[in-house]
Amino acid sequence: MEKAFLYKDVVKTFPGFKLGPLDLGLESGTVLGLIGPNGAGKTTSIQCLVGLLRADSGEMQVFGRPNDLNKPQWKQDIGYVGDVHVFYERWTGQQNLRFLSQFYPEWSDEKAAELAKRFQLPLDKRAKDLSTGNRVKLSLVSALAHSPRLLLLDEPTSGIDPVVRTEVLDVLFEILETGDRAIFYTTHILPEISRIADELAFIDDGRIWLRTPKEDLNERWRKITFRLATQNIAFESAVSHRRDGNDHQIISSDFDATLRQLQKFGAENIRDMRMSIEEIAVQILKGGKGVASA
Amino acid sequence: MWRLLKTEVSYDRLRIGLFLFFCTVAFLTIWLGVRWERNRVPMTMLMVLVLSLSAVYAGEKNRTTQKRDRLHVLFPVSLWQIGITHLLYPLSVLSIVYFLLFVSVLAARPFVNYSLTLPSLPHMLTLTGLVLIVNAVVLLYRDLRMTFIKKKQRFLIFVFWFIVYIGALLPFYVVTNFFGLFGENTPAQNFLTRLLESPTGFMAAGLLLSGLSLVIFVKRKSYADS
Repeated sequence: MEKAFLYKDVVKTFPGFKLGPLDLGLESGTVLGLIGPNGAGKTTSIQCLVGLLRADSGEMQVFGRPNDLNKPQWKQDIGYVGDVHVFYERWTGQQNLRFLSQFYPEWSDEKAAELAKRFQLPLDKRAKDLSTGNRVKLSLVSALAHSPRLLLLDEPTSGIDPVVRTEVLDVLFEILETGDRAIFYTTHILPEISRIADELAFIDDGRIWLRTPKEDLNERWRKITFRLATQNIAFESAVSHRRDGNDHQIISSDFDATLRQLQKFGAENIRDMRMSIEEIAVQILKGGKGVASA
Repeated sequence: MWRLLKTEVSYDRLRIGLFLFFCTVAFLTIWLGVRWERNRVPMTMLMVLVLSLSAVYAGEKNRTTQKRDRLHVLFPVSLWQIGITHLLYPLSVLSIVYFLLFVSVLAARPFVNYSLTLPSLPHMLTLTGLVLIVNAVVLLYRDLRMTFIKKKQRFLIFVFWFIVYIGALLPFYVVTNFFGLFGENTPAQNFLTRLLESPTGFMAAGLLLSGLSLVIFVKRKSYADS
């Protein structure tokens, strides 16, 4: 299947920070959530792909075309919403949308109007007078009105209230229902990503430590409690281990492997609980590379 | 590219309108309201230069503050086209000023009792060259800072920029003397006058620096912050 985007050995360095080497791809119709703490490299990754930053080395492609800034046809396929929302500030939302429409043959005024209505976005207000939430909405309308095949969302909901955030996610769900669009979504707001993503990638210190389908995480990660008298056992795939006398609590990144081991040691009263994606993500980000490879 | 240029000029139309109003006031003051024994063209051209540079600089600063390069880079438009727009913008503004100048001269002629002459083509080319030089230096300073982000590198860029700007005072001296605005000609002024009798030097420097600024823009390492 055609890759919506592809990073090959991409490296970008700043004083005190290095992204990569980054190898990452995304297939059409998939939502990939990139999770990481502040300063992990999420924004840098996306900005390299859209051309806001020039990578030091490596290759990037969008639907098979290199992201060459002087052969920009590949940008027709992209809708990008970043953490900074740039407009012609003295112009109204409507004027800004009219300006943007000149650059995209696939632009639909009807779709823009429909999205604006859906978001209750006042298009007659000047951009500089829009609230933070409305600026995000205007960015989303700008990014979606030309029906891009790849949507790149870089913490689009940071700084907006939960009501607007829910609206934004609802619209994204509707978009996904239409089929083969790919979405690359970065955030540190975990409930958001757990709702929308098919796959998750965890990034820290400029490196992706783990990439996995969301369902796999749900299946494999468990909180397990049990009774066991034996001391000093290193449990397989245990990310954390608490003990109170003979009562133990483990967080395991591979439930089946841990369970087999517990049964082998004769553990009693074994109970397991599924974990939310937020809980799992926190464990992975706390544990870094060690957890990812556990 | 033309869509971007048209948009930028259209977006700045209020600012440009205000600037043209100031130009008109300046022209009429010089031609109709000032007791002046000398040729009035040099004062007019000096005013055009100062006002044009102010307008171009304000437009550029506004574009940088509002991060419009960041916006434009996301469009399916090549970097070369965006960069050329940066160069065509001041030329567009200057063309409007020249048009205004011609119209104003023709309009003011019936009301003066002296020979009110139009600026010559070499004069206008010299001024165009000067505007291109200053515009390119502003762009170069900004774009080099986006590529060289280490403190030492940025300090060196600042030193370079400072020297160039001190040097940029020279054109004002040159313009005032070239057009015989003040005082008697000294040997140094004569040398500069000879230098400037052909606008080739300024136009060549303006075009060269503009070309350089275009290349630096296209090679920038980041478009995220301006």
